Amino acid sequence: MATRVLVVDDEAGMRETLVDILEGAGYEVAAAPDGIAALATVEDSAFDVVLMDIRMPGPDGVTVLQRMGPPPPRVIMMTAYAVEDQLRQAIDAQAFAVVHKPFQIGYLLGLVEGAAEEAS
Amino acid sequence: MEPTIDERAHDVRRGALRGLSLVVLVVLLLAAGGAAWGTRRVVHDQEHRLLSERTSEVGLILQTAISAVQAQLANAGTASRLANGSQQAFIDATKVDVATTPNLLTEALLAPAPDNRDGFVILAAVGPSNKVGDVFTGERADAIRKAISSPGKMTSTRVLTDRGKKTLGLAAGPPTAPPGQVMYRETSVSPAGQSRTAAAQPFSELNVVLYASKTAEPSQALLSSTKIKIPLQGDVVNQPFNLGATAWLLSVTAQHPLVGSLASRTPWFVLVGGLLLGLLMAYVLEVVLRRRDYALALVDERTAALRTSLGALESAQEQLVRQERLAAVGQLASAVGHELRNPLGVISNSLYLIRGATSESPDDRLKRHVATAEREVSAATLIISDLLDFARAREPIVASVDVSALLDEALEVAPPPHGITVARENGAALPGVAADRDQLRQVLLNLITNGYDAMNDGGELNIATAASNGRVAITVRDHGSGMTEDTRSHLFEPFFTTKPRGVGLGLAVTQRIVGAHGGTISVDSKPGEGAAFTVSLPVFTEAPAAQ
Repeated sequence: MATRVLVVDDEAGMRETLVDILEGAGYEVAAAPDGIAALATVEDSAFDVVLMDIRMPGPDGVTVLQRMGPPPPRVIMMTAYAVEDQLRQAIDAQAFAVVHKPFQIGYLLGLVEGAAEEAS
Repeated sequence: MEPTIDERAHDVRRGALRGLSLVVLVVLLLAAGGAAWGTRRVVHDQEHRLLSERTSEVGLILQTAISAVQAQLANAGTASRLANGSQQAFIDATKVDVATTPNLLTEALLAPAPDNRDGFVILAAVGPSNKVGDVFTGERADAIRKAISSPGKMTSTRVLTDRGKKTLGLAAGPPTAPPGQVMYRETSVSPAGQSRTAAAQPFSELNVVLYASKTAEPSQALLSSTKIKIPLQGDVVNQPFNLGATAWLLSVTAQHPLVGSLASRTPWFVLVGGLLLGLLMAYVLEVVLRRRDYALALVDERTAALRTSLGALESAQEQLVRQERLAAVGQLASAVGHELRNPLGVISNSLYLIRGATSESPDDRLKRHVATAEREVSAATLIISDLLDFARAREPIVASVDVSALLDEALEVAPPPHGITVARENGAALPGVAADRDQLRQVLLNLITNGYDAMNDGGELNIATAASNGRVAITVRDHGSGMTEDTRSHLFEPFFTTKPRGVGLGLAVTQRIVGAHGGTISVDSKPGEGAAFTVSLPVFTEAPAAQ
């Protein structure tokens, strides 16, 4: 069974390109435009890895991460803002990794692969 | 070192007399001296005038005494004339004189000697020294001859010294004596003894010496008031004293100041008073001047302190303004940078997808264009990272970082542009360094893209790593145009750039990141010989010292 990845980002461009890239890499990908939708999606079906933006309208990525689970999925947080507090919070909330936008796709795919391995 | 105000004040107190004080002191001392001298002149003149008056009085008294002698001689002369030169009559007439004049040696009536043209023969005489028939010559004869030629006037000899005894002769010619004859009296003289006259009241305050000569010759002293040294010393009044036709000299000094002892000491009072006043004035002036100096020194000190404070304030304000400006720039850059990262991320993702879609395409130009777009996105990302890092320094989150892998990643993010090749030179099995992976990647990207930018004409970029003494060194060497000493000195300043594009924050941020990691960065470059940047970082340990 293919690894299931959920992409959560309010930016349509980012969301769509990431879906394409991950599908191209062979993952089964779903997408959500905000935290509420993401929580609903995660409740509906299980995901191995979540790629989630930190800053979003509504509950931010860290809050959403804290509400997921149990058991929580492996969450890779994405951010365009190098705000230290948010990074610390993400790490404290057991995020699998934090990546800065714009990121190297190779590096991101490596992280996703690592998270999927840990999930299985 | 600048002396403190207390030290200066001490110097002021200890210093020599001020010039002005000295001048005032000297002027007042001179004035005191002048006043004392003037007063002394006035007192002296007064004293001299009083002494002159007293001398005249003494003269009058002495004249009276002489007149008495002349009267005695006249009596004897008259008696002799009446008695026709009889010896007995002469003795009778002069009996009183002999009795009242204990020092009488001779009283005689003389006439020119018939057998001696210059001599005079005694016609009648009393007294122990001479007898009738004795002939007078020499000085006695001179006085007698002068008496004859000066009618009505007495003459005297000089003081004669005869066998150790001092004598004085007085002569009176006609009309005192009979015509052609002379009355002569010779008495012994003892000037050192106090004479009767000298003891008289007017003399009591005076030292009086009467000379039988025109000048003060000690041998001619006839009488002196006390046992004093002759001639007189000090303020002497010398008054001519005419004994008939012979000029004598009356010499007088005062035993005590005639003006009174207080008046005579006035000049000294003036002098001492003046000196004290001068010293007091100089002292007061000195105190005032020193206080003024002290106050001025204090003002200087305070002024200097104020000036220093003002300078410090100004520089602090300048720094504040600069910091505020940088902060404003930083805030703006931060806001813009963050907002640009999202679209850059989308572009980057899209380019990745395009690259995947065109990987099979035979059109090489398309691939090249995609690569160019990717490189430019990387450059834009790096600029934004620098801006954000400069605007808000982030504490490094340290972990063990594999430098070789990070270099691979950096070169993937920033592949060498056309014409440039990268030559790696890795030391054997590098240990992990203690670093914030994102920040160190930014450092490497900065050094690598700087190297590319330095070699517009292409060339080889050397990247070497080496480990030694618990540190890992990463050297990025370009073979570009190198840099001048001036450029090198400004290299790490924010907003300093030599590139046609770029904001000039790369090396400033790089230096700050390396510093925050407890590392060092150095540059070796000469114009025309390229540049080599070396970053040295500590090796990661379980308890990193850098944190």
